[in-house]
Amino acid sequence: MAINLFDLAHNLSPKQYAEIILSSGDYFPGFYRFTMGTRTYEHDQMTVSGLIKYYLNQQTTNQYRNRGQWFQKSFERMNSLDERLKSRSDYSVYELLSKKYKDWIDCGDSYDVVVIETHNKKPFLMNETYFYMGALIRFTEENILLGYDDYRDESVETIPINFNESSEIIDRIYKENFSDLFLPAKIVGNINFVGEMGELKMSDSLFEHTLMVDSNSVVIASNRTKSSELSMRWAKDICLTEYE
Amino acid sequence: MNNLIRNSECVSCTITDVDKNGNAEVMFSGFRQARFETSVIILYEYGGSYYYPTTLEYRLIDNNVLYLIEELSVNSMEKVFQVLSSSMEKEERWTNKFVLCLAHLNKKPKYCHELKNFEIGNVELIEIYE
Repeated sequence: MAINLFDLAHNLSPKQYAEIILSSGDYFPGFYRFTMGTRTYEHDQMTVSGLIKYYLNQQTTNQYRNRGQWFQKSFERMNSLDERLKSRSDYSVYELLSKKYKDWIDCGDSYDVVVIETHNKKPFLMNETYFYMGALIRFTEENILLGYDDYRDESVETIPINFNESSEIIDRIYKENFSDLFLPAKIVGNINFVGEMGELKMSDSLFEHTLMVDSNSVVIASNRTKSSELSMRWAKDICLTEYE
Repeated sequence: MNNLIRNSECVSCTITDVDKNGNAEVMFSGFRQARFETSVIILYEYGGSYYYPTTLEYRLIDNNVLYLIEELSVNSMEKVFQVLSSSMEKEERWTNKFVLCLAHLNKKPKYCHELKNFEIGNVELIEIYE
């Protein structure tokens, strides 16, 4: 089969664009994206209850974690990943990835925090945000919001496809497995660094939401400084360190 | 364009060739079976800037290119191809050839992400013109 690249550049309708984006759902999403199966808890990774405890403690003591404390878990993961990367046949690629990966984890001033409800399957609903193939997507009455951010109520892209049209596309493509590939998720807050110290900010409503979600939900971060303009910025995760 | 829109089956796409009229050959296969000798990555050029189509970031198996370029700051296609080739060899135990198709446009493309401070480098290249 063929596609014309000049048509792809200029003649894509909003509906075709939405259909192509919504065609990418896959249990095995390819290079550099986690599969749904790996979105599970790792030892010492920040949990929902750890996030809640940390936030409450911070609000009462005004004590913030430093960068090393926030990302210790990610660096530990990186060290074990390092061994895997060394098995690459091309050592220069290992060196390149190792440095770039470390920079990606800790070079930002601002990190968004998402809670993905891996154990709470939901059907296709209006005004529900879903984690889908490394992006957060929301279907409203009038639009599809790609790269949606519940914390700021903004999105990277707005596709003018109404809910009825979205529903028709979803029904056609995902007859049975919608809730396997679209997981309820929300950006619940942001870690803002001033120098080495990072303050977790949450809105009251999103803190309440976090209190209510399943305790097995996955908490991960994304480097907002690097990737706020990308809709698919949750394909690889930055793990935060658990708070006891 | 409808060829990138799927029915209920989970299949991924790989672009394996592009002709001078801009027609890209798309192959479909499930993950792990998607082994093709050539994988073509598409970039658009307009007004001296490079653009990567968001559609392909979502739809192609050899992604995600924007993660490598924007998040990991791999700032040339030559290095991106080194990483992709290495990953293909390591994860899929498959050696293939990555080729860049640079499509020069007369107007700015829709639904694309502009790449800043990015260069092509030494890669196998197909150039096409609108």
